[in-house]
Amino acid sequence: MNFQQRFEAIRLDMSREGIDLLLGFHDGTHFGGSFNALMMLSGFRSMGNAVAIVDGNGSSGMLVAPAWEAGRAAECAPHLKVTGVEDTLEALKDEIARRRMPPSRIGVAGLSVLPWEQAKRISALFEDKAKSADQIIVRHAAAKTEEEVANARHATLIAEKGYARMLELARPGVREDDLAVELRWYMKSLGAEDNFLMLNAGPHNKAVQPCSSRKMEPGDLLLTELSPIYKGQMTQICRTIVMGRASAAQKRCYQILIDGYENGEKAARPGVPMSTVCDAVDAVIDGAGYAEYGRPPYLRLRRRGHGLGFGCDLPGDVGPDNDIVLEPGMVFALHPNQYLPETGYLMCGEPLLITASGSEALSRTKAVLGEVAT
Amino acid sequence: MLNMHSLLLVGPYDWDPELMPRTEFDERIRAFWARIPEEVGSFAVIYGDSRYHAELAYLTHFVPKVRSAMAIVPRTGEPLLLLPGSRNSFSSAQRLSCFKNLDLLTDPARAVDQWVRDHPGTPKRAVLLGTAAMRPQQYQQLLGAFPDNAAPLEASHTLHSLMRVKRPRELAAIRRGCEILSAAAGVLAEAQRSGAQVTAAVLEAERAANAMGAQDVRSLFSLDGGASLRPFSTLIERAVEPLQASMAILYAGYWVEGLMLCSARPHAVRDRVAEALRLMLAQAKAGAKAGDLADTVAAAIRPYKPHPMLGACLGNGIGMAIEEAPRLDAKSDAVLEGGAVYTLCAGGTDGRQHAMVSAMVLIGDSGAEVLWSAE
Repeated sequence: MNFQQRFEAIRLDMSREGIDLLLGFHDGTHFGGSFNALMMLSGFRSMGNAVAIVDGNGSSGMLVAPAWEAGRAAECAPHLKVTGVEDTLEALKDEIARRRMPPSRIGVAGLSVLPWEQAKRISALFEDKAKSADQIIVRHAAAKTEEEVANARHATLIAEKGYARMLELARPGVREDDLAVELRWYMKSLGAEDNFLMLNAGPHNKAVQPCSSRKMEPGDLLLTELSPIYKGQMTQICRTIVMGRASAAQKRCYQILIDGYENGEKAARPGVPMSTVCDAVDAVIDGAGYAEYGRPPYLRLRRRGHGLGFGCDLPGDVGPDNDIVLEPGMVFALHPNQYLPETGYLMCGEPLLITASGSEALSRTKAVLGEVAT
Repeated sequence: MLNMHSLLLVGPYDWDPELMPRTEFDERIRAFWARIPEEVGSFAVIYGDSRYHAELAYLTHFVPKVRSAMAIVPRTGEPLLLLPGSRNSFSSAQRLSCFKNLDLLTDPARAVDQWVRDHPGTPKRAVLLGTAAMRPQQYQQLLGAFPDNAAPLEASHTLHSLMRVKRPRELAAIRRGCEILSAAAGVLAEAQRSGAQVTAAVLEAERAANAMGAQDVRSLFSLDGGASLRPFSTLIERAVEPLQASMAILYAGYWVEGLMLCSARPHAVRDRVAEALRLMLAQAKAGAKAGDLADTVAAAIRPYKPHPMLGACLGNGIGMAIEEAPRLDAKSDAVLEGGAVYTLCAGGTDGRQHAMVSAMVLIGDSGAEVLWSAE
């Protein structure tokens, strides 16, 4: 699939749902995993307000504020006619008036992630009669385009290099936040535009968390989610490093997670529901006697991974209730990360691409329990 | 200046009592409540996220490193920090504030109701801070706590007026931030002079700022001679001449910002806008009107036109947010306030050459102390 084909599929759905004009909004506030209609329609990660405009008849455009962002937006979205404006809502009013389009024929997407007053103003602009069109975009962004898959692959390569660097730098006495800043910078120097980088250490962790000023100590387990974004695609590898030599219990427990991952990867193929993948992971870990630790309160959510990309998290969580059927081109993180009473929280996981015949881990080297000399 | 923020903040955000002791926050909270009548509010509900958190950070030092959080700050008594996610993640979050009372945030209204139940005798009269950045569902949920009196007062403007005049410890942080900006700008200029590729030069400057303790560094740079700026999105393997850049640096919770044009060659527009900036700085003092400063700049950059990225803008207040009130421009009736810190800028273009420069200033009664300048 390519971007044009995604657009055509979106237009087909617009026609089915009686929408002549689809508007995808974003305000430039980026949270991991939150919906970004603008990004899905344009590939443009805005700093401020912008709206992508998809006309059912074929023409498409984008209004971008401030106006000086228009050049960058046009590079990201050569398929859209980009106009730089000072106020997207005012410009949109003019555009709608020019088109003389009834509000009931307009679909709006992305309002749920805007500041509430802005969302209210947009709804009022269409007299609260515009249709919600979030799902039209979401369902067609679930499978990645060929270019997006290539970018996810490159992002994963950056993540793996980041992990190699982490093994070089992580030592007792190093502050978590110093390590995180250096790793973020290093992966940026490899081309990562952003990074959802979780990193923390402790002798018996309860969860992975954002870094703090804590200094690592001998015997700590260092947890990390390295999640660089390359050209709009976020990937994620999950790793655990022992500050010193791993104990027999740590090795045994980690192997359980690896076995869970492998079983999940085997189950991941086109045509099966995502819940099957979760069940496959659970079968191994529950079978090893750790069923209660794979659920709240030990885990925040009962899941074994989540969708990847940027702006659309489909195919969603690797959870027991997710019945979305896997399709070629879907990319998600499969990570049986969890708390185990002998060791504390452990992390292992890879980004997985659903292929025509099964699945493929995008990482070249899968997780093993890391060790650093103390 | 608008810039790109990160999904997850990784710098040194933990509370450091050496830099900002607990008494500093107690005093800020007292000063805030002194401006709010008792009949209007007995507690404040504050929202903040990884992008917008100035109000939350000002009163609690707490910055959500990922997504969003809330706090309840009563007129008297200990503030409560409310975090989404899981209690298992509290150990890192606890380091972010001098206040150690944390609870899980599920539904904002439930959190408020629970807090009121836990504080019998405290009237359920809230003021809101920072809630303009809330998402529609969150905001609606929050309003659910106040069914009788509809939306409580949004008191951010009151807090902003307090935040504008910087306290001694705040100024110390801003001064250090300006030292970091100066060093980073120097690294950028040197890298550009030595022919480094543009993103490599920016990365070198960012690393220098990080090494000096910056919490966050957000750079924008030009590929078109300075007509526009862009954030880092991928590696660009060519050098640019001239290099127009903007760097925003966060240190100890305070932003400093600079616009700079790096070029070893003669640049007539830069020379003119630099002179305009110097004249503006000479005129800046408590009570100076934005309109008068705008006239000075407009006259000084002639025959060039204002840079389209700045238009009539001369700068803004700066502190815990990159853009604090007031925004200074030719049409505003804003007046520079003694004790406040501003970023002041001037820019021009002749259609071929473009330049923007800026300075960080602390306003005094008889003039401005230049904390950093591109010139």
